[in-house]
Amino acid sequence: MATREAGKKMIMLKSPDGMEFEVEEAVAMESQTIRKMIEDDCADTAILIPNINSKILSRVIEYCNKHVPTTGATGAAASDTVAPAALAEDLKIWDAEFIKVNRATRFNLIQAASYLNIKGLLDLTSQTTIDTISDNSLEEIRSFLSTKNDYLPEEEQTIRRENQWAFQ
Amino acid sequence: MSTRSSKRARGASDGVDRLSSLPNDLLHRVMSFLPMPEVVRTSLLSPRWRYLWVSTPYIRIDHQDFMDDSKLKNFGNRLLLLRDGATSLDEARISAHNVVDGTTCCEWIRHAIMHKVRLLHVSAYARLDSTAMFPSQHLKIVRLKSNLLKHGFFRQLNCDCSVLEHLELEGCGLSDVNEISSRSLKVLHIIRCHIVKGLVICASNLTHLSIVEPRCRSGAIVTRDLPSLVTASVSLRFDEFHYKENTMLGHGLLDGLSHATTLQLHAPLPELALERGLRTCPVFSNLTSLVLGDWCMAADFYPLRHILHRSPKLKELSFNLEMEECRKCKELESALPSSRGAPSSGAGSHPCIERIKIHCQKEDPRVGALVQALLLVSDAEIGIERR
Repeated sequence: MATREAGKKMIMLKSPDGMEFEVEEAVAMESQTIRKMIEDDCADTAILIPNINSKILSRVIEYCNKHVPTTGATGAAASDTVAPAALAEDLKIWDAEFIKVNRATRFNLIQAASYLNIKGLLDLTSQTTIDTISDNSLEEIRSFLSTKNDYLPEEEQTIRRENQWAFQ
Repeated sequence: MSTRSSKRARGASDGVDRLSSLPNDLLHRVMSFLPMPEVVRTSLLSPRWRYLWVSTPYIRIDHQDFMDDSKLKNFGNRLLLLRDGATSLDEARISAHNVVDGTTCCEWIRHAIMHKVRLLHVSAYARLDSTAMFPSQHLKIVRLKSNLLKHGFFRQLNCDCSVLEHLELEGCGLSDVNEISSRSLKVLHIIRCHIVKGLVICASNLTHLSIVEPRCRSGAIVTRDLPSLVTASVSLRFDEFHYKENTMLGHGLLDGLSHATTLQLHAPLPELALERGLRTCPVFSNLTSLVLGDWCMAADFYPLRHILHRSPKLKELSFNLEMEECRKCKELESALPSSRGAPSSGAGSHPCIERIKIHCQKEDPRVGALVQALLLVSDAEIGIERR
């Protein structure tokens, strides 16, 4: 239910496991998907977020809360008073802590960020996934991703030959 | 739900490959953080990954991904040849500093445009001409860095790219007399470009224009017919701006800026190109915010008085003073009368101006005189910030 609290419009988000989260509209609108719903006036009552359980949803809200552009009492952007570079640095450190999660959570976050269309979170989760696998050998990456090597040795050789141009 | 895996055995924790179970578009997104050769090499991971790379909505051909420069050309050619042509490209980035020839580079660009690329970024030190172009209803953003652009290139960009909105040229060389007249273009940045002969900017829907430190003869850049313009910024810094004092197109640098609401004009002291531009340009009828550099203080604030005289709605006036001088202009200036005279109808006062800010060096001795001059024409409060 959209309510008012201290002059700020609130939005109710519901996860499929029945939890409800009341968040400021500005925070919810960090998600382009929710923004569109609100702008199209589809957000009068609680918005059901399918496929994202309460544990992941609460983390996503935590991320949006941190990343929503803050406004001071006068309505001026906070970046007027705090140097933008310092603010960005602070966010980067916060992000690095935020994304210290296990792989299952991270993949859930990727899916959630994709469905909710939150570019910053999608970039963060993708980048982190890549950082953990690059500079490793093929076997290490396979093992990290729990990908079974379903290729026969001769198949692998064929693909290697086929894509030789992409190997230095 | 998902519990922290109890056994943290190296690698496989729950035996399920969560990443591979993501849909293609999400995997493409994750893969986009890898260098392109590694994107192709993911084909070795498992059958699920074998052909994923062929349908990425982006391509990046970057010389930095290869220890051996000679491999880049083959990589670029193969990548374009073997990818799935039915997948539209969102983004193509080509970074080939002097490594591939202009013909190859043009072919790559053309290929990308034919595959509906929306964002094109080329940094190649290559000669790009009309063979790089292809009519496109998708190309929206173009960023070109360090390329030599031939005439036919702009002609097609103007006429055959119906949704082009954002054009950024950095460190490019522009030969011939070029015209940027695209009707869809909204944002144009020209940064440290070498303009060999002349450039006319007349894009009728342009809203933002910046011209930063062009290297050309004075008079080589003309703006005109920019009725949609909102913000414009011109910054002249280099003595190169005057490396030859004869004009190709005339003194119309400011002619097209008359509709802007926000204007920044930076140049060392004095700057004859801007002074001459002032003489011919129309009234800045919408201008509410103006930032000026050192040049406005020449000859007893002649340029300042002149521009204020032509800005009837100005509210905010700022100065960014760097104490920079233009040697070449100083030499030329000595031939001019030291006082350039007041605007025809006298200095007048400017009651619309609400705020004046002066940003300057700590020991800039000219600020006192500037404040005196301002007090004569405006009642606005004057703030001074020294650094």
